[in-house]
Amino acid sequence: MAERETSQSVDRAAADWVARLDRAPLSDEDIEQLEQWLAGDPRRHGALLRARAMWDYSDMGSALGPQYDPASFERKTSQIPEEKSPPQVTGRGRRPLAWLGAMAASVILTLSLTLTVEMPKAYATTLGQIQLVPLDDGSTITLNTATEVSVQYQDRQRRVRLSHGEAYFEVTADPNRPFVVEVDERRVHASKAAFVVRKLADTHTEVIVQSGHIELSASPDDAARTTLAANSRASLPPSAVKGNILVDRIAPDQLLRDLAWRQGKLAFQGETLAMAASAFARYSDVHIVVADPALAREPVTGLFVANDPAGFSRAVAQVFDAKLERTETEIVLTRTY
Amino acid sequence: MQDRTKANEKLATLLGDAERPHWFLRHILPHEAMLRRWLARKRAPDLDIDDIIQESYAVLAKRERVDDIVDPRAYLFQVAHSLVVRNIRRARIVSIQAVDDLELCDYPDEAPTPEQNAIARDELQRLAEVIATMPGQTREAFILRRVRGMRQRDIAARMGLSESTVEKHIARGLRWLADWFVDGGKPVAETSKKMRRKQRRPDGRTGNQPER
Repeated sequence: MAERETSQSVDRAAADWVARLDRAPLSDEDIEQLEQWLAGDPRRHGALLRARAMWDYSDMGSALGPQYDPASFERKTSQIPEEKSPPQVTGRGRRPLAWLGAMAASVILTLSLTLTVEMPKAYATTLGQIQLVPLDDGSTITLNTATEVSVQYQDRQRRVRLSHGEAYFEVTADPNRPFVVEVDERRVHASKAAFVVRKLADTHTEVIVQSGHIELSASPDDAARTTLAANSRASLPPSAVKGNILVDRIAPDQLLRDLAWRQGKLAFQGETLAMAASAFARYSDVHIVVADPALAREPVTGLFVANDPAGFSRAVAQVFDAKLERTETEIVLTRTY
Repeated sequence: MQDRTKANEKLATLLGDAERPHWFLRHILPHEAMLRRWLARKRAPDLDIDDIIQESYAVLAKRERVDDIVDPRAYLFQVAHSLVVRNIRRARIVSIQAVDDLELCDYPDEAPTPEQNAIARDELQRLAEVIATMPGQTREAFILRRVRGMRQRDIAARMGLSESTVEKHIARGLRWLADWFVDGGKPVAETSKKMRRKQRRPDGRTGNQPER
């Protein structure tokens, strides 16, 4: 046997095939070539599966939103090296990043000179959109569909106001400047934590903590605070009613499913079709109507693209043997028998 | 039209079921780093870790179905383990003792937390960061394709490149992402990546040898 092909070269060819598959439907000749390539070495099947999985992973890039600006992430990775990356990285490989860091530093300097008075900055998403907002201190906010926040960084406080919708906060620690989210009259105080704040039209406002902990106060001047640990959820009824913050635990896997929207997905595990349909309603103008009450009670499990109610409905129709009718604003599902 | 359908059927047989990459992404890839470390600890001479991993994945790719695998992680380690044993038997140079050691499938059995189950804790954030480290045109093409959802043909028109050049950029971006993933999700510069690969090969072959 001739010199064995390196596994790197196999990986390279696999990536080439995925790009080819993505470009356009393969010609007969391409398919022939792919068949021969796969047959040539058993490792190639494995490499192709892995490359396709990585390609799947990159699909969530659409959730970064049209405002995604790679430059702001360059700055973050190079400017604030985490303890994970060894400081003694040798010159050659790292030089481009160091250079970017220097450039970013000068940008920051210019910014801090011109923006002595910080204006609140508004970010908003439309129906079905998701946007990741990196902030100057390394914290990030991910906005779910139809959400609006405004951000104001001051000397003593990092303030964010959630007007409506749902946002996921990942907050970096800054002992001198607490991170405060205002929602209704409530305040969420955080240091280093990851949490969700959800303010939707028909339900109570909710705060869910994924990691770290946060403190809740009922009103801006209220000294009494409720502490919320990781994997717990607080339900906040209208603040006119006093002393009524309800706290319960939430299982980590349930929490991860709840957060699937950050990847532009909706995850269900046994929820009824009716509940799933209403979950989709938040992400699109096209609403799913389940006409049959028995069908509406069927349990749904799976991971679906949030702003694609049609794709979800097709899958449901197939599984439950339902009929699907589409109008401009509705998708109606009915039993066929 | 008939021919097209036939071609598509053939392609479907070659690629297997459409859901498998997603299953693989959720259930196998998160354990790759652990598998790599585990293989590195094996006292087996001439063991090419990358080869074993690719061959293990090939077993998963060719399997008729995967939904009957109750514990994908345990299964992955078992497959890799049996491939290591097979390689050692084939090489016929190690002592019986070494094979005996390897017979013990001592894969780490701590259950991953749901957090570890995700490919990384902050997938979107990390994706945003790794795309940002891609080189010039590759980055632009990759963003247009994966963030903006444009087709390769339209990207070619927009960037004033040929379609095959765009295809090469997309492939390169994907490799960038995959290499970054091998490094445990920490973006590294290309040079250090190559050096690491050189070190990883115990037999003196390097990743820089002529390819195809």
